[in-house]
Amino acid sequence: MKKKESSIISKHVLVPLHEVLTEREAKEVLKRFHTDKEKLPKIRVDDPALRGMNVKKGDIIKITRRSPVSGKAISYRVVIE
Amino acid sequence: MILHKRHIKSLKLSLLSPTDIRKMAATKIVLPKTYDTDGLPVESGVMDPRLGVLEPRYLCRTCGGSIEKCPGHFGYIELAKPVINVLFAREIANILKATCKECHKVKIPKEEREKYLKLLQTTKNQNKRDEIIKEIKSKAVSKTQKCPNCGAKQNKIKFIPPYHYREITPQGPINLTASDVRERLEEIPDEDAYLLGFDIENNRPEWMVLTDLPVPPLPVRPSIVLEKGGRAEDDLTHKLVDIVRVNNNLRESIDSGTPQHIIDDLWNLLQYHVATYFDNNLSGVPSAKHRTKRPIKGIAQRLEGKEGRFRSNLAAKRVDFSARTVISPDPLLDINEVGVPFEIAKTLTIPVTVSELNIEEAKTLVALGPKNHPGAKYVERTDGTKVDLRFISDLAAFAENISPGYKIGRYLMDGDVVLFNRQPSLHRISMMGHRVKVLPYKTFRLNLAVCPPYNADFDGDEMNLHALQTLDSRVEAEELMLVEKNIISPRFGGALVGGILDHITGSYLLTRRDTLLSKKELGLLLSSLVDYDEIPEPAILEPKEYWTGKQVFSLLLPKDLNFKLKASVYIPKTETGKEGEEFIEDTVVIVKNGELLTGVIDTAAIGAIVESGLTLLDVIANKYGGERAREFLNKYTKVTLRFLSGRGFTLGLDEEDLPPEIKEKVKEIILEGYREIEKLLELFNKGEFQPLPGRTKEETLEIKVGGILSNCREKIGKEVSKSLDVDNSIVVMTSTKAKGSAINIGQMAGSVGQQSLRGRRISEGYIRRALPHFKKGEKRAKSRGFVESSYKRGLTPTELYFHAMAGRESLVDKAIRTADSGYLQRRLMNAFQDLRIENDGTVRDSEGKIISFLYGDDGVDVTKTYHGEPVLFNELEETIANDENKVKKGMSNKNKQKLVEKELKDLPERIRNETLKIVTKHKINKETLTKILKTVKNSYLHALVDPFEPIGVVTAQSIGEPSTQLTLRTFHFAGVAEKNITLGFPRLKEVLDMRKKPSTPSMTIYLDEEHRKSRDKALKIAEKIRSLTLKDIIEKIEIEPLSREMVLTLKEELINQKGIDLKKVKSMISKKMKGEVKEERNSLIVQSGIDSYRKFKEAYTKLLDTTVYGVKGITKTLIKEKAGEYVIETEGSNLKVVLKMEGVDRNRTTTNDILEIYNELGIEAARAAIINEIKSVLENQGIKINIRHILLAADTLTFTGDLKQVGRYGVTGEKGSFLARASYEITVKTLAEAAIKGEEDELPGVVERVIAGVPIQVGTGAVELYAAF
Repeated sequence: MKKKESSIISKHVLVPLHEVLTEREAKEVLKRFHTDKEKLPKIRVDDPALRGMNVKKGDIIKITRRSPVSGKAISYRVVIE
Repeated sequence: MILHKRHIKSLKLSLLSPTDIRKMAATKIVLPKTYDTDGLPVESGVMDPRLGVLEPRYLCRTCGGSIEKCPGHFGYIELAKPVINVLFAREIANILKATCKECHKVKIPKEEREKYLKLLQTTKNQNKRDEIIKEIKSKAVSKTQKCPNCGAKQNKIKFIPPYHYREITPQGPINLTASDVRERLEEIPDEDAYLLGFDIENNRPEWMVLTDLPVPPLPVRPSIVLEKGGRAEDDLTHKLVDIVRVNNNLRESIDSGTPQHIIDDLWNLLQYHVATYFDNNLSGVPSAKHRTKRPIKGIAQRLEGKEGRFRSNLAAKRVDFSARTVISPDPLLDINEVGVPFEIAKTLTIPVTVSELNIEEAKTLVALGPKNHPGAKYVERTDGTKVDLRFISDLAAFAENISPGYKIGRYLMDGDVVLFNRQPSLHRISMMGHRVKVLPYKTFRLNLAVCPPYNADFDGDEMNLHALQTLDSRVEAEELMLVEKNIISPRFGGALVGGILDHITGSYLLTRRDTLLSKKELGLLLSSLVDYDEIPEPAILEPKEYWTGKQVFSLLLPKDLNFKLKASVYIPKTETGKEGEEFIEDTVVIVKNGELLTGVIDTAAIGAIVESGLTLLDVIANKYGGERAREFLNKYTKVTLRFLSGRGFTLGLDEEDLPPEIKEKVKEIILEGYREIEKLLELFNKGEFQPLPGRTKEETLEIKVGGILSNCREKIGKEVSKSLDVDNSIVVMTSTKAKGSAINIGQMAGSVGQQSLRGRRISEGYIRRALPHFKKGEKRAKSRGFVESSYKRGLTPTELYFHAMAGRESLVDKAIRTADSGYLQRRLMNAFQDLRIENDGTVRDSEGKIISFLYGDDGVDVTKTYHGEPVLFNELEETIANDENKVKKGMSNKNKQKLVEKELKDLPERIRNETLKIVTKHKINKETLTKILKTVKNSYLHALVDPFEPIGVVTAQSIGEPSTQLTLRTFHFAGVAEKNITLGFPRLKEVLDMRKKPSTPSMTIYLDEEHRKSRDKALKIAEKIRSLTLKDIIEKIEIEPLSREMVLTLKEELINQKGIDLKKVKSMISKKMKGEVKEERNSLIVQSGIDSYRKFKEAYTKLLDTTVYGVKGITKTLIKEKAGEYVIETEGSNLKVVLKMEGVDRNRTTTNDILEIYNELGIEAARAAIINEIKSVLENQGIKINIRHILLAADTLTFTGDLKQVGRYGVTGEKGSFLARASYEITVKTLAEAAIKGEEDELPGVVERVIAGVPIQVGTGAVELYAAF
């Protein structure tokens, strides 16, 4: 049942790809942008796009959007409660 | 000399203690008098001289300073009884409610207390701290019965604004006096005050109740001398007098043992006076009024609002070294020059520091003195003394004594770079750098091509000029702000400075094929160019030498320019429909190697603000840079105007004359229209009228009639346009898009057309008719605002009246629109102003939070693009196509792809793909391809945004400025069965305000494979969705109010058709009406058990609106065909339910309700929805804003993880800086809270730095220049 729900959300045209980063990947992102988790854009842990994904507060999500400007655009959000 | 400037680092607010008040006072104020009979200020009175200096020659008694030096000193009033400081009244109430009356501790249990203490100590972020404290307070207040610390019973405390407190004791309610309150606050231990949000190191809660009142120094409340000779005191002084008087009264009464209730009254009066002195706008309290009935200005009033201290004296100021006059045109000036009148140049000065390098010039200027231009006004010696040169008799001698280190103030001279501006300054282009050209006469002069960015016309407009005083600012102006450096707009990527009106008409006529110039004429034109490469060979040699206008124009173009575009006059010849047809009419502009081969030059080529496509001007400005573009524009404006002046261009009334056949045709069209209307009216009156779906008969009639009439106008317009020939001046102006459009021609020569109010034909004014000249209920054309006449023929009296009504509506619309769009701009600016581009292309705010990871998804600055595109792909394609035949062995597509991916690997994907697409289409060898790829890469890199660019401001302006053009009210849907959707400005406002539910919610439901190809299947689903309320299924209601009985007669057919489950309906009714429901034949009999009649009425009103069928909220459905499938559009929205329905495509169905999208699909989806909504508003109105701005706006509204609005409850309201918030909207409350919390503003953002006079952290202020020695 849960699986079906998350696939409903993630396949909608308006919802871009959300992926959870590993510890190491997260650290790289923070390093690359010279910043801390608090300074990243946020996403709530109960955000519908994260349903079915195993996320907890403090995780970093990588979001891959389709951009009319550049084709692909990548953004990150840190999970908050 | 000052080498180091010291800037304010931070500003901290806190409460003032009574001790401090007394310490800082110069004297105690006890007398309610100002001046005594000799006109001298009374000692120990309110105007005591120890408080400061008012007269220019007097010295301050306290500090010995003169009126310039003495800042004024405070005094104090010792209050007979404590008084609540109104600004903290609410906070006091909260604290009283949160603390125990016995032990005075915060009413939370020990463990929680420990937890919160730790939490507060470790959390630094102010917003988070506020949340924690809010939590503490709400927990403390909710425990009403017993104190968790000492067990004492708690009483409820009621706060009665503005400053009364009542405690509900078991014995009854008692009023708490200010003294009582103060005592309780005094007892609160420090730690508890800390838990309640106090900055305990600097503040104590009891300081919120005043025992001593500081008296502001004299310069804060100066007196004025009236013309009649008398003195008028400042409002604050008057109020202080009142306070002292009542205070003394109170003290005497207490001392002399007057009865308590009199003392209480006096105390109350004192409280009232002190309260209104601070804030005269309190609710529940009459505002204190001047004798003239005008409310007095309290301290709060001085600070808040548009004219208050923050918005009018701190974030903005009146400045010296500025000038303002009427503007007039001067086509001979350079684009970047401004003509400055002598009088102004001889008033404004520029400070120049004398050094060995310029000492000779300096001496010359001083010797020339203030009476001459050039000249100088003052000299400042190294010790700082200023010498006014007007009073020096021997200037030459004085000039000799000038030595390095001195400063001279010289008059504004030719070449000086100044700031030129026209208000309203909606975008940064409203202020540009211009070089001064001092000229006679009294107006500022500017070149016409620079009018569009300023939005200036010469009907009396005035503009402002600022003479920059420091070297830094002059350099910044010259390097960044000169006109030629700002030709391309950041809003849409096209030229803002360019040809207008006569420029366009002139160059069109010049470059037309039939324009031939003799040698003499050529000479005249060339003379206006001043410098050109060489005289070209004449295009025609026999019988006489003739040159073409195109040749002249080509002299202006860069030699390696290749460009192609369709001119404005271009009309596709659908008859021939073949390639090559364009050349026949000379309407496609082709430039090869700097030569204009074909085509006429009009708006499409060199117009200013052409949003529809790339212009020649855009290419020149972007490809060759501002300097070259400036040259081009200078020459262009001169040549084209010289040509037009020589040829002459005028508009005669006869040019609106129509040949008799056309006149006949126009009449015929109108008569035909009238006949059709007659037919409709007949049908209508006979009752045989078929209404359109969803509309009443009347509505349908109106729609149809309106349609016929607007059709008439269109047809007439077309006929008229066709009949005028190419040389008709009006046609020249409209077809080149210089001025006017098809509608103007139609109205002038043919018929003005239907006038409308609020989207409908004119119908009101008198009962059932618009004017008494017509019969009541008359629906024909003429009586409802159809103007048959043309402007040329003149309007009849009734036509005139209707036209005036419509004209008035549009003026009112414009007026309201300016105010609303202005406010939107202000909100956007305040929300975005701190955002800047960082070194890595990220967009971050003043606190370092990341808003976007790469600005615009590609890091490109719109100002450096061709309408948003950093790479000119057309030109690329042309170059490749041209050299194609020279290629012997072309690369394979696979190799092409490899090379492209290698060379362009760091570039955005889309650019790679575009390049690849072009490159694979043609034959090309490796060398050329490498060169091309290099160009592409360079173009892209060249177009990147500069770090520290204030793109917050740019984005806010790019959205705010065009919002002035959005229609305020939108009544386009006079069509058949169109939906009603909010468009234009109101919708833009809704989206940016993050309104909970749009005013016209609507869904677009896509259907799944099974259902989308069949209209019937789609209809079925639509039927299931469209909701019905109880009202809809009821034929008749009978209510017996006394017995609370209702009889609902049902629409049986409808219920059966829809398959409505009556059982559910019955149970719903019985629940809502708290009674029994019986079913009897085709009715439901309800016996309600609600006692109160009012509640009964409420209940059944609500009952009737309850949804009994379909999806709640969705009121109308419409089947539409879109791209080969059937789609359901709705009025009303309920995404949650619809997404779960059978037959619905869950992945594409969407709504315009952004909150629903957020709740159902997440924040990223909401962001995408915001972008789509804004885009559609703009597209619908035909306004082009580069998408990067919309992307940034959407990012800013969603980066916190939830939806934030632009405004004081959203982005702006969450700013950490209290100065930023106070100067935005809620001034005094923000400051009061900040004081209690002991907030320290470290000036992170723009507006707070402007207030503090510190360079801003954005743009040039973000960098410092170091010189190597």
